[in-house]
Amino acid sequence: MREERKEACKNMNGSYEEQTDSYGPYTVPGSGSYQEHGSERVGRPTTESLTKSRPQILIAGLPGSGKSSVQSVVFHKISPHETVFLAATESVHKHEVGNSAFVQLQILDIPGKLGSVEAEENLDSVMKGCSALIFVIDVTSENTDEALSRLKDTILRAYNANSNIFIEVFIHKADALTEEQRRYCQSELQERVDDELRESNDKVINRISYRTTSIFDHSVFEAFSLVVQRLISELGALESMLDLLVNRCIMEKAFLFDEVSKLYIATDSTPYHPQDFELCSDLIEVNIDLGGIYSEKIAKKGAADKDDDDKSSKGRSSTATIHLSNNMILYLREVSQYLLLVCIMRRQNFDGNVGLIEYNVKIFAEGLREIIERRRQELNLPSES
Amino acid sequence: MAAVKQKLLLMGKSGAGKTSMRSIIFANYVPRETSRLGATIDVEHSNIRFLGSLTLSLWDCGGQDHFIDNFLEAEQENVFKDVAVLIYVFDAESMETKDTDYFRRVCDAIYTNSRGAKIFCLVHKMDLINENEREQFCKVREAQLKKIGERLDLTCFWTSIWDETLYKAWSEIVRCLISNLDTLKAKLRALCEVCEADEVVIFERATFLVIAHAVIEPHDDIHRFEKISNIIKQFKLSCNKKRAGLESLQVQNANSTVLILDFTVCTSIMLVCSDTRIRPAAVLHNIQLANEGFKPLLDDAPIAGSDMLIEPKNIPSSAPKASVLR
Amino acid sequence: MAELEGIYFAEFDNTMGPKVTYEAPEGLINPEVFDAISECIIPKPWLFGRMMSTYAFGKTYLGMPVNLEGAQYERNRMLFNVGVVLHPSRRNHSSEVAVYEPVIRKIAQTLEALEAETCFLSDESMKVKLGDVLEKVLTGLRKHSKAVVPIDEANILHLVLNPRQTSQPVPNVREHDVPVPLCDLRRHVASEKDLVLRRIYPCIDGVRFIKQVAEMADVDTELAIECVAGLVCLDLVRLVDIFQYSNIYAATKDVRRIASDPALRDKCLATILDPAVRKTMTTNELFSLYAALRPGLRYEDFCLTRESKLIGVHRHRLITFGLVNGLIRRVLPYPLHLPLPGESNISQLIAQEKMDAQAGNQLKTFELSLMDGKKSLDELCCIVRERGPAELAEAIAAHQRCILVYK
Repeated sequence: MREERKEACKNMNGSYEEQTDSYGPYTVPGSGSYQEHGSERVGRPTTESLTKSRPQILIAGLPGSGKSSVQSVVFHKISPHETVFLAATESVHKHEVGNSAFVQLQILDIPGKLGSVEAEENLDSVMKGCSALIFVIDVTSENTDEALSRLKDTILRAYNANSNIFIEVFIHKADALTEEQRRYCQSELQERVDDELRESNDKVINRISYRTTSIFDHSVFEAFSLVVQRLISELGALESMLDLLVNRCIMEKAFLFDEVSKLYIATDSTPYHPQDFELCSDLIEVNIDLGGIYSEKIAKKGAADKDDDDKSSKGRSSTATIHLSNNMILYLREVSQYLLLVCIMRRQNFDGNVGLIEYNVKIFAEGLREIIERRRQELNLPSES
Repeated sequence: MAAVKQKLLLMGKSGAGKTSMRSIIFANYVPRETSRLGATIDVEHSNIRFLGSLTLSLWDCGGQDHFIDNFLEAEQENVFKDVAVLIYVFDAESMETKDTDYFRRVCDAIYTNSRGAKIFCLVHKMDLINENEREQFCKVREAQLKKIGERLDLTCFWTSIWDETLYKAWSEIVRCLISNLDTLKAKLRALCEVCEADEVVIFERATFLVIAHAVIEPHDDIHRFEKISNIIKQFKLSCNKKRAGLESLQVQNANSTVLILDFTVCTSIMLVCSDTRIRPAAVLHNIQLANEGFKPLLDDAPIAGSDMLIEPKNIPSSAPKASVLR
Repeated sequence: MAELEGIYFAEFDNTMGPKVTYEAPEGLINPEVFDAISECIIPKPWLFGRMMSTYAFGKTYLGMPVNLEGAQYERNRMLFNVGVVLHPSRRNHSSEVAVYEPVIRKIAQTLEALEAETCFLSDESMKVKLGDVLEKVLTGLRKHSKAVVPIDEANILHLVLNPRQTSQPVPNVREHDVPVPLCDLRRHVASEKDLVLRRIYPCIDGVRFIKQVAEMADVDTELAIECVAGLVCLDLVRLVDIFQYSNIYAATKDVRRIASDPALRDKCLATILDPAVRKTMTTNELFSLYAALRPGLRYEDFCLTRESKLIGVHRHRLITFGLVNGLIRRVLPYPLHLPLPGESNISQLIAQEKMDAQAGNQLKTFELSLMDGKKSLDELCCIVRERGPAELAEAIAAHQRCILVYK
C-alpha cells in the first residue's frame, strides 16, 4: 500500500517536472530536493493499521464539559450560541460522518455521567475499536480534580484496551482565557497528567496531545483537524503534493479542506499561522453561503452531477478569488468531491499567471484523485465517478 | 438639496438590545462581543456619515425608567423634535404592559413633535422565541403595535443579532432616508441589463446595508440580500483581523458567478450572472465605466433638480461578451 | 469649613436607572433635584473614577462615581457614587469643599474593596447595612470631625476631617527622598494606630532617606513610602533631596525672612548651631551665609571659602533648614545631549556609540537618548540605575556633545 502511494506521488512529480520545463521561470531555486523530501515523508512508517471500516473517534469527559457541543459545532453546523440548548447526553450516540474521502468517521459521544456496570464493560470493547480518544476538559469548571482523575482513568483504560490509540486532550471553553493563560493552562495540565501517569504507565504519555479549544473561535476546528490528520495514513503524500504546488506556483500557504466540516486535511510545510487557517475557513463559509443562495439547481457538485442536462456547466467546479487590500489573494478551488484547495498568494505571483495556476491545480487534483481512489477501495466506499 | 442630517431615535426598554444592534451595524462588533457592552447612560449621540449626502444622527437612548421618564417629560422637546425615524426596540421574550405603555407615550410625543416621522418597531431577540410559535407571536404583536401607533407611519420587523433579520430591518430604515432612490434604481437596472446580469445590488461599504437593487431574473429567496450583507460583513471582519481589507470577491460555481467589489467611495456593488459564458473581466470593465455615472448619486451631495436620467454614454451599449479576458 | 448637610449613596439600577439608594438624613436629595443633577451623580462612563463636584440649587454635591467592571454584573458593570451634600458658608467654596475629598475618596475605596472581597454591594442583605453606616458617618463627622464606624467583623471605617488636609494629589514620594520632620512626630504618633508609622517615625531624622529609614525600621520600602506620603499630606513632614557637598544651592527671594522674621531666625539658629561649641551668630551673619548661596557655586566650595564662619555650624542642617523653609532651593543639573546634525536617528547613534566606546567614552545610546534636557541628573540615575550621579556627571563632562545645564 505504501508502495502505491509513492507511485502516486511520483506520478505527480513527473507532471510537475514536465511543466517545469515548459514554464522555466517558475522553477524555484533549490526545489530540486523536493523529490527526496517527498519520498522520505511518504516512506514514513504508518504507526497504526487502519481498520477496514470508518475510523472511530471516542469523545469522553465529565458531564457538561462540552463533548456534544464540540461535535455538533464541527460536524452538524450548529451555531455555537445554540449549543446551550443541547440536552445532556444520556446514552452513547454514534454519529456517522461521511464527508470527503478523508473525513469518513464514526464519532462516539458517550454520556459524561458514569453508567451501569455493563455499560462500563461495554466501553472497553468500544475503546478497542477506536482510533482516537478525545477527552474534553472544561477549563472554566471548578472541579478540576475530578476531571483530572477521570482523565487519567480514561487514558489508562483506553491505552490498555488499545495501545495504538491516539489520545487528545481538549482544554475546552478556553475563550475565557487570554493567549498567555491558554499556554499556561496547557503546560500546567500536561505536567500534572504526565506526573500522574508516569507512575502507572509512562509509554502512554507520548501518545497524548493537548490542545486548547473553544467553540466560539476557530480553535476547535483547528484541534479537530489535527485529530483527523492523525488518522489519515496518506497525510505524508498529501503534504508533499501541497509542497510541490506551493513551490511551483509561488504560493504563501495552501490548505486542503474538507468542505462540509471545514476541517483541514493537510497543509504544506511552510510555517502555519492560525490566522491563515481562520481566513481560509471563513472564505469557505462565504463560498458555501453564496453558492447556496445562487444555485437553484441544488448542490450537485463537480463530477457528481452526471445527469445535469446543462453540459456547458459540467466540469465547472466551484472557485472563489478574493483580492485583499494588503496585496494578497485568496484562491479557492474545488479539487474533488467536498475537497477544497485554498491558497494564499501574493498579487504579483497571481496576476497574469492564472492559467498556469489552474493548470497546476488540475494536476494536483489528478494526483489527489488517484490517492482517493485507492482510499475508497480500502475503506469500501462507493467510487466517486 | 445640500447634505442632509437626519435624526434617528433609538429607544426601548433597558436590555432590549439597542446598543448591541447599533454596535453590530455601525461599529463592526461581532454579535458575540455585544455581551460585553455596558448599559447606556442617558443618550449616546453618534453621527454616522452614510453615503456622501446623508449623515445619520443617531440618538441611542438609555432605556432605564428614569431616563425614559426624563425624555418624555423635561426633555421632551429636545429629544422628540425634528425626528426623521424612530426605532423602537422590544425584547421579544418579555413584552410587558409597561413596555407598550411607554411605547404609547413615545408615539404621542412623536405625534406632537415630529408628525412626519417614520416609526420602525423592531421586536428583537426573536431567536429566543420557539420557532413553531413565531408566526402566531408576530401576528399578535404586529396587530397590537400597529394599533398603538395607528396615527403614525409604522412598520414592524422581527430581528435577532444572530441572523440576517437585523440587516433587513436596518437596510429598510436607512433606505427610507435616501432621497434619490428611484433615480438610483433606474440607473442600476440599466447597468444590470447591459451586463446581462441576473441582478445587481449596491451596498453601503462600511455597514454593508442594502441601498438599492435591480433584479432581472427573479429569485425565490426574498431575504438573500440581507443574508449577503451579513455574510460579507462577517468576512470583512475576519479580513480585518489579518489587517487586510476586502477589495473584491468572485465566487463561481456550476450555475452562477457572483462578483462583489468596491464601487464608489461609499459603496460596494454585487453582480450575479447565471450565464456562465460571461467573462468576469468584461463585467468588471463595465462596472468601472459605470462608476462615474453613479458617483454623483452615491458619493456627492446631490444638487436640487439633478434627478436626471441615466447618461447612456457611460455604459457601453454593445454586448460586453466580446471583451477578452485580460 | 463648609457645613455638612448629609451623605448619600447613589447607584445605577439596570431597570430604574440612576437612583439614590441610601441617604443620611432621610430626604437629603429631593427627587426633583435628583432628576436635574442625576447626570452628574451617575455620569457617562468616561467620567467615573474622578472626584466630581456639582453646584446646584445653592448646594454643592461632592461625590466619587465608581465604575466596577466584571462579567458577574448584569450589564458588565456596577456603577455607584458615594458623596456628601455641602452648604458652603462663602461663595468661594472650592477650597473648603476640598476638605471633604479625602473622606469621600476613602469611603469609596473602602466600598470598592469590600465589594471585591465580600460582594458587599451586590449582596442586598449586606448592602442594607450601608444606610446605618452613612448615618453614623454623618453624626461622627458633624460632631467630632471624625468617625469610626465598624462595617463588619473585619472592617472598620476610620475617617478624619482635617482642615489642613486638602485634596492635593498624593505627592510623588521616591525612595531616595529625605523626609524632614516639621514638628515633634512623637506627639502626633501617640494616638496613631498605624503600625508602620509607629516603627518608622523614630528613624525620620532629616538625614536618612526613605530607603534607609525603611531598612532601619525593618519595614517594606513600599509601605514606608506610602506612610511618608501620608505624613506629607498632613504637613507633618517635608521632603528634600539627599544632601551632598557636590550639590548646588541658591537663595530664593524668601531668604529675606531670616532678617524680617525673628521667630524663624531663632528657630534657625537653634537648629543649626552646635550647642557644644556655644557659638552665637548675628542676624547679619546668618543672612549673609544663606544669601551667599548662588547658582554655579557648589556647596563644598562654599564651605571651603567660609571655613572660619562655619565653625560651630551644622553644615548639613544649615541646608536642610533652608530647604524646608523655602529660604534656599537646590539648583539641579539637567544633562543635555546635543546631537550633530543628522545624528538624530538611532542607527547613527549606535554607530556613534561604537566610535565613542573606542575613544574611551562611556555614555551609552540609551543614556544619551534620555538626555533631552527635561530630566534632571538624579532622575536620569533613577532610570538608568547603573551608576551614581557623580559618575554619570563625570561621563557627561567627558563627552563632547553633552553638557549639564543648571537651573
